[in-house]
Amino acid sequence: MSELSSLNTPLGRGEITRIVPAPEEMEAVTVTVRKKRRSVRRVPVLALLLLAPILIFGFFGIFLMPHDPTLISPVHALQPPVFAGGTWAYPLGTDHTGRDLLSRLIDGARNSLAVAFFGVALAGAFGTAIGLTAGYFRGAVDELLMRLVDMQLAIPTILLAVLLAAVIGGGLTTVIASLMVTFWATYARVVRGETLILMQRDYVALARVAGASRWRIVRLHVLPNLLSVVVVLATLQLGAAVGLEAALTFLGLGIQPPASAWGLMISDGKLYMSQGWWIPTVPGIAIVMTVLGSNLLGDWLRDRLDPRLSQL
Amino acid sequence: MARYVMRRLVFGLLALFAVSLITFMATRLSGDVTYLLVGLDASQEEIAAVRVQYGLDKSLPMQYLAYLEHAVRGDFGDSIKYGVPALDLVMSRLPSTIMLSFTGFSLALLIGVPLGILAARRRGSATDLGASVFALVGQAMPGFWVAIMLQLLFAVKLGWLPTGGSGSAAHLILPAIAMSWFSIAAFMRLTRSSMLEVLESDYVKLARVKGNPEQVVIVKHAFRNALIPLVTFAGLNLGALLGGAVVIESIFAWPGVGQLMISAIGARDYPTVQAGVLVTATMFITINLGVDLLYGVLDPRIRNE
Repeated sequence: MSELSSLNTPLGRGEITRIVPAPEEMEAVTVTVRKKRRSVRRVPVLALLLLAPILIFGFFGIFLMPHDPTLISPVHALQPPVFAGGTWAYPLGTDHTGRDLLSRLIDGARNSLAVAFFGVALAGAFGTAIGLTAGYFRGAVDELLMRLVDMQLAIPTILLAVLLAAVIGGGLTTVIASLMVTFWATYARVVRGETLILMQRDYVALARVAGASRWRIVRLHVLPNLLSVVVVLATLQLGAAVGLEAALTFLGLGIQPPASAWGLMISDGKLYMSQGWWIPTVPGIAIVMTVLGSNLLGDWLRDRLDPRLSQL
Repeated sequence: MARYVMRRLVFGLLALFAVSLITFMATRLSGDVTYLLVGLDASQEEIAAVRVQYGLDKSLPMQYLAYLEHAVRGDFGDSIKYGVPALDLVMSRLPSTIMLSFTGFSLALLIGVPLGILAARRRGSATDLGASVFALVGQAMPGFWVAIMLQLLFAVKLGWLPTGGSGSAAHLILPAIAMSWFSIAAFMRLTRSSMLEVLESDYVKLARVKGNPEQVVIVKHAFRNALIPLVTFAGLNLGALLGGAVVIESIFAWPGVGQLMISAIGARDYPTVQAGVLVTATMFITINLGVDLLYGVLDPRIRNE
């Protein structure tokens, strides 16, 4: 019962005023749930189609690269992709130094995905810890932590990244720190709201009566129930993280050459786009596929796991 | 309402304080600033003199207070690269950034919002589908890549517009579109969902039953109420645009604060980066303060909270 009534509770306001919903409300709730459920696909086909090649590149890249991604060969410079009159020897064409774009794309996938994943994971862990603390203890702790979150959201993150880069220089640390700083606050806010709701649940009260310790309640009754929110949020943010990493790398603040990264390919390609339009275009399409795919996957997971979270 | 305004003002000031603390800590993170000021071959006496002169012999909290005092007076020190006061440098670039951000923001509103209303009114139609696909794909395209694609198409291939620089209205078109690209998609999506929700409500149904013309129902009854989430987003979005300006300005060689900061990083010109970050963050915080206040005016529930 209480689960149904909380379906309409807005996120972040944990107070459940009525445990048993009025009959007409019950009906409305069940109807909307059924409507939502019906429209949710069993398998997110489009998202998987978009993400599959990127993930395969990321995990099995070493076995798939047709050429050495850093091999410079002026003889083969500026070859167009196969769909624009090129040859299958270089399916996506070559850049101004004759490096194979497909190989660089595959090599870059690993770097870009790893950095984005790591950044989002760190942000998720930190943000969840903060949100959980705020929602569990409430009161002054909550107030303090949430004001910190507000403050973080009040500062444009690209500025922090720029500042960080000015001080410690561009590189992996800068990007990962920037991603973490960018994304943790959202987790803190959402997890706090969820924790407030969970702490009102009967099983938490029962556990407390049974004499369970704080840590035990958090570990057994709160954390497992936060999982779906955190997973949905992480999936939605992964795309944004790939985009941000590419932008920072493009500006020269992120992954540094001679490593391959999509942002680097685009900044190289920018200089030679009048001779080869495909050089900046190809890696950009890979980014769009990743971002779109993870956005769609995140939307699907959200509808599937927790239709209540439509605000995310 | 007075209490609400006060609370927002205090919060705005606290946020500014936090930014100043972060910019201060950032320079100290980089190690001892003395060597940056005196050079590597300085004698012990010179180093000691500089430390006293810049207050580096004091404790960190005292140094921060001194920094804050200078910052309030607009003194961030001289740019290492150009040798002029860093704040003057930033301020001279600010009008360009404001012009670009404002144009981008207007474009996003003027295209995104009407498209969203149209899509919501004709839910399920080809227009709706087209707009939704555009919004979904548009939001997945990183701004810097959109910028390069626009350059490639309109400047390199077609030759209609300049690749970069400033000076005429034609120079403004591509950067403004690149900057607003994400926002157009976001505004469209948000307007659509907000309008759909409102159109389902009882008061809109009542307005229809009363025999109001469709135009009046949409504009007066529906859109006004759909506006509230849009205003919140608009504030956040302006901030995102200011941040995005850093990237877009560098691509189009647009002489704004963003381009200045990126070139300053290359030269390790900390004072300029600091002043740029603080000025941009101040603008962002002020805008959001304005949005919060506007929000209170639009939605009586908020100011009475």
